[in-house]
Amino acid sequence: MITKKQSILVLRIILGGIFVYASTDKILHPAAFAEMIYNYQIVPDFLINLSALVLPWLELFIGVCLISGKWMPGAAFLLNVLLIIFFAALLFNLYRGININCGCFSTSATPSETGDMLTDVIRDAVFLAMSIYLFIEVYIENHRRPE
Amino acid sequence: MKLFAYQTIRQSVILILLSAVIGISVNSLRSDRVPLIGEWSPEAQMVSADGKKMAISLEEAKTLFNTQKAVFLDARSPEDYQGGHIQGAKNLPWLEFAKYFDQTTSDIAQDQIMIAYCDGETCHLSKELAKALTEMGFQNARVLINGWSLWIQNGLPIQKGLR
Repeated sequence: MITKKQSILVLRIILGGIFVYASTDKILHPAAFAEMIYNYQIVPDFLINLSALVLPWLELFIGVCLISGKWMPGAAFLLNVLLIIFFAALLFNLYRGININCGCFSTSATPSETGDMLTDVIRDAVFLAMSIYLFIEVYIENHRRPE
Repeated sequence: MKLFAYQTIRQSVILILLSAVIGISVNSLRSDRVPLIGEWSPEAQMVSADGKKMAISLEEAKTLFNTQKAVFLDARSPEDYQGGHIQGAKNLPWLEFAKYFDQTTSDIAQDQIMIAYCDGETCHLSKELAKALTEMGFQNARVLINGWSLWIQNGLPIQKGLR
């Protein structure tokens, strides 16, 4: 039988691993990542490069925190914030019919078909559900401790 | 509850600041660093892979139109194209590029000046089309930014219907 504690550990490692993995290519290729942010047509021009420089590092730190179990309230919170932003951005462009490469994991992929964008959206929804559950558990865990 | 909220906010702020400091520092150490505030205006975007400026002015486009030295390519959908397009323009919808590419470009020489256009300052169809044409070996693909609106506003010749 898998205990709740074990399931949370698994969630942390999956989500943390995904974030660390997703951050590396973007850290290595900021210019390509900036181009992708530009393609989303959501971020104002003057913030595009700054986002491209800072966001991947934030993903990396969140991932490291999740895996190591350090600073869980902050990391789990930011995890939710980022996933909500990514999810909304994808939905927004799916709705607008702009066919973009989501740039989720790699900065070098070609623009995807609409079907693939739908896959991106569903995948993000699954991540988001996992991350919301994780944050709730972190909250409960944190609340229980002083007693 | 209060403590948890405080912890969450404090840790989040520190993580964001840390990322900002490291992200910006690492960038400044790189040889291929990107500027902190980039130039993302439509004109600045129009640079082909070999560094050629792809955007052309309405004046240039007008001259090329009058001297019949350029082929105009409408990157919008067939429906938009039928509703009205630059006189003599061919339709090569970017969203159906693969379907239309052969039939539209079969009689165009590789060194022919081509002017792609769509509608609106931020419309990316013409830019993507010109880039793709360059990749396909056409050496003179250009973009007239916001071409359709500019063309109408200046009362230049248009036509309606199929090609």
